[in-house]
Amino acid sequence: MLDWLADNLALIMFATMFFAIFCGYPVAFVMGGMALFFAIAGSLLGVFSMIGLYDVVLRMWGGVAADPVLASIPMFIFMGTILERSGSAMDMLKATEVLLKRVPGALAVAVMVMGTILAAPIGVVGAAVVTLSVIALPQMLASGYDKRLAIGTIASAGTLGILIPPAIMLVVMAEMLATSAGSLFLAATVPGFVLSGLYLLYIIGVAIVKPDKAPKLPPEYGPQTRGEFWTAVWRGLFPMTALMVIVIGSIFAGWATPTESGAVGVFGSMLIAALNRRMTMPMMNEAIVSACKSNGLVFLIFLGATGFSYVFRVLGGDELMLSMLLKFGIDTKWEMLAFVMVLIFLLGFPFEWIEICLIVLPVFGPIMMRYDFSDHGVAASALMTWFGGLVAVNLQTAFMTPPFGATLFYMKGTAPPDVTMTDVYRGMYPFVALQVVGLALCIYFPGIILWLPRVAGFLD
Amino acid sequence: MNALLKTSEGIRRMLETVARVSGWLLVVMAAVTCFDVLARKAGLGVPLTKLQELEWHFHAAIFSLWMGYGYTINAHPRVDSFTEKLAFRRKAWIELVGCLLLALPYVALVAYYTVDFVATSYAVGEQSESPFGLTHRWIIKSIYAAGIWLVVLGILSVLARLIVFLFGGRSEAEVNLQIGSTTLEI
Repeated sequence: MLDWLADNLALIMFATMFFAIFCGYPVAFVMGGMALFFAIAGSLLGVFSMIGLYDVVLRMWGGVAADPVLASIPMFIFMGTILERSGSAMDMLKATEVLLKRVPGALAVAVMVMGTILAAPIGVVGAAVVTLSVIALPQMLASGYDKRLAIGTIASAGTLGILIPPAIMLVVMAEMLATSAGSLFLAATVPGFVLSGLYLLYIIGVAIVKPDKAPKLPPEYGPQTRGEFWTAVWRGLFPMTALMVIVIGSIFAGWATPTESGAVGVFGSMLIAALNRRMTMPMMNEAIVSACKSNGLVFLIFLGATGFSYVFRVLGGDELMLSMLLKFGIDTKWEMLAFVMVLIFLLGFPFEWIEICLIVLPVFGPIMMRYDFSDHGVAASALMTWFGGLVAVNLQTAFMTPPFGATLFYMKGTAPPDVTMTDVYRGMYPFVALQVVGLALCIYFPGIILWLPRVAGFLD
Repeated sequence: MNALLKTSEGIRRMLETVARVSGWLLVVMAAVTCFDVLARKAGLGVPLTKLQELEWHFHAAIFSLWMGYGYTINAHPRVDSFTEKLAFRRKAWIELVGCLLLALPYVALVAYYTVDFVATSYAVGEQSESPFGLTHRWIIKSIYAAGIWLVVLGILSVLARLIVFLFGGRSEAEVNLQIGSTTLEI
């Protein structure tokens, strides 16, 4: 009995954690507490030495604090909070609406285009969904849009932020999969635009087939003269687009590290705020507090997860997990890939991306590395980039899938009271279906993910 | 109970001050990094390695000094799909058990190990691995260690409030206990 326990301790640890996490206590502390609990159990059974936990201090230092790539996370978050708090994000949405006035379903298309561009600088789901929802939802409902179409559009547009660079999720994933953040940024770009394109086709299709669901904007909407029109577009759209091109372009071109381009982005967003005369002390204070809060919680989860994955690994968790899957008959590479994708999709219901990235990726990343996908056009050197891209698309889907997707709660939280949770769920279904199509395309055609990193020379 | 509540509030205020002040390091970090980029492009003779190391020094300080404060203002994400409808008192009991069994033992142990971590660095006069890098590595290492100790303080602050609320017969508003549902703002 004790031998069996000692041999399977890692699996018991993994299972216990998933139950314990539902008690509603902060996830970071649950993971840390589990690490200590099973470290003690392991040392009583003679398979773990307590002094090994000293390693947590070293790993948290070497792999997290002294890591020049993770240093980009506070910069990207800060850039996003400045753009959000200073109202630059709102200016941009208004300008996009004006520009796209004559397109069928103009408001919805504007929200989607905006989500695709704004996603990049905001890069953090909650902020993007809330911003879009607060600004655009009342307006869409007032102009007679179908409630569900409006909700689905806003939620999926806001969620694009975790996929389109410089998303902080990709930085964390790169760290966990031991690949470069630059190549993951590139890998997620095309899938992000493919998804955005699928959404747009759907919205425009609905607007053409059922115009009552997405009515046209009245001609008296927005500026009337040509001069006013271009001023509005110029002031709202140009600065943000330029900022995005500089921030992402400098990473892709290899001119700047992610941290450096994030820092330039911070100054750019401060400059835009200053140009709009909104660069005030209270605004900066709010932006700093909100950025530091988000940043602090990301790294507290690192503190808990570092302990958890260290103890799991020392107890032989990786090998145990693999042999258990083999026992269940999951042994070919496609079965394994399907298993990991389904697992991540299911975990995405209750968990946030960060927990999944920190727990699942370190376990399944090395397992995936054992397989050879070269007959599918994915060389061994490109495997982690492809896998990372797939996980990113998958996690984005998980975000907007009823009943627990985080995006849905943000939507409900900011929507007018007559929008029910059922409306939110129903609104999401077409978009979730498009999302699954997107994921399937990325699996079937690895080129969607790998083309851009190859062109940029990150992969051969 | 009054003294306990006052201590808890005192700790929270202290954490808040540290956090608010260190938050401005974001601006400093962005400025230093931009200066580094510009100086490199312009080919100025500035110590680039030192500047680049300084960038992650700021990053380490910013997140370290915010982790503990984050817990006192309930910023850390929870999975509460099954517990969100529980009565507040129930939630407080869960929080008490969590603090005592999960958070405190783990973080306190890690914090305990950081003392030796910093002491070793100080004793050997640790420097950057690069000959052109920063010296006095123990300074940033002690900020990092202090950050983990601040998490311990944050947990103690919440724990004190929990005890006052559960055993001192004070009302929810009086104790100002911040637990339960959070919305992840990232």
